[in-house]
Amino acid sequence: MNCLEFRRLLTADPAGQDPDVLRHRRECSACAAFAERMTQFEHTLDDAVKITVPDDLASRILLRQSMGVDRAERTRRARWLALAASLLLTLGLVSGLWVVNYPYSLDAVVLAHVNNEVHHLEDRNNVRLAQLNDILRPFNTQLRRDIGPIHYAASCRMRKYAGAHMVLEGDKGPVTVLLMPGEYIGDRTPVQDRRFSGIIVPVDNGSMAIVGERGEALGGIEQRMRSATRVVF
Amino acid sequence: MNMGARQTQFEALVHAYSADLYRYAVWLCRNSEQAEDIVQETFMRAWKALDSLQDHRAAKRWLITILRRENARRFERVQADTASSDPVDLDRFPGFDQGHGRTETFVLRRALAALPDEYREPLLLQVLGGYSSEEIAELLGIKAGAVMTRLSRARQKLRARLDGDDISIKEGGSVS
Repeated sequence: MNCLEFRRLLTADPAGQDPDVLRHRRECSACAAFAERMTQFEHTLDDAVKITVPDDLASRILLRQSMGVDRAERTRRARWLALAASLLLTLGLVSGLWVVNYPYSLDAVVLAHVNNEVHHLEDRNNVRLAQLNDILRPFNTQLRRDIGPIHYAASCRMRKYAGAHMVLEGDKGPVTVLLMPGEYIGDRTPVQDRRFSGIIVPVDNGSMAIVGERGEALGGIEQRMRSATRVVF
Repeated sequence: MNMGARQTQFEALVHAYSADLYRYAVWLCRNSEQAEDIVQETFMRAWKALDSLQDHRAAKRWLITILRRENARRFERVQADTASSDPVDLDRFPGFDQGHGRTETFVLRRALAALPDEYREPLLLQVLGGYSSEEIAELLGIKAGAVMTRLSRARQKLRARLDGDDISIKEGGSVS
């Protein structure tokens, strides 16, 4: 192998393990120096191609996939429910019996979620509106005006669908707001347990829960959220 | 494959390969927002076709093939709609101007972005993907010899730029 051939092969594949290339490198000091410079260049090239990847890229991919899966599951479930409903109707007509059983209600899920993640009420992350809007983007929701201090914001799974979990500033203390796209309720539904009380209200693409410590006035936050929130497609 | 196993496999693919696919996409389309769209679409298609992935060792290549197809679709859309064909926006690369604070890295990124696609893509597949010239040849549908030539010329052009030689590397020229 001559020097020209060595340099051509090395430039094409600096990490190559061709025995002839390795032998020439041992035997020719000029080409060994060339190879050393190529190694330095490869380090720089490696740095150059490895541009910064957004921290939450993988989460965003999985979130979109989970929402896609949910849509597919929802379609399948709707078909089964339609079949089950027609069977139930037939049974009901025959026996005069009508039973509809829900495994768990949305108000129970909301309270369980707030209680399970009660530690977020202590957070003071000072989330900016733009950061919150990044989180809300997959849900086709954006906030168009200030809603006051945002202590915590993240996307998380509620019952079947992903949603957004926020902690805002209420009159007496932190207030949890859950945006739940795809979770439709007919009317405003109050929720309450020993520590918390709140309300679930219908919004354009699902529902929104607002929950604070018992005695917290939630009307202001509801109004702020309603006037700031826009569903975008 | 049951739903749980399918989900586990998919999540493993996302965690293992999304970063490199994103970098590859950014260099392909030289726009970070479009790159993320392409990567998102790639994984959505991968999820739908996951059952067709027989050999997990081939997963990365399979994903790159899907990503290249997505990028070609994007390119066709841009071509079809001339009004929306934005110029390449180098400054929208995340971290593009930092380059770990090294001048060489910064200069090399500029040079790499200006390299014709025919040279840049085989080089990315080798450096980011770790593929051999035969594998790159298969992915790009060209001969292994041509891959070697392009890899060699790509590095020559980049090194020339790094060494300050004023060689125009924007012109396409003939590519073997």
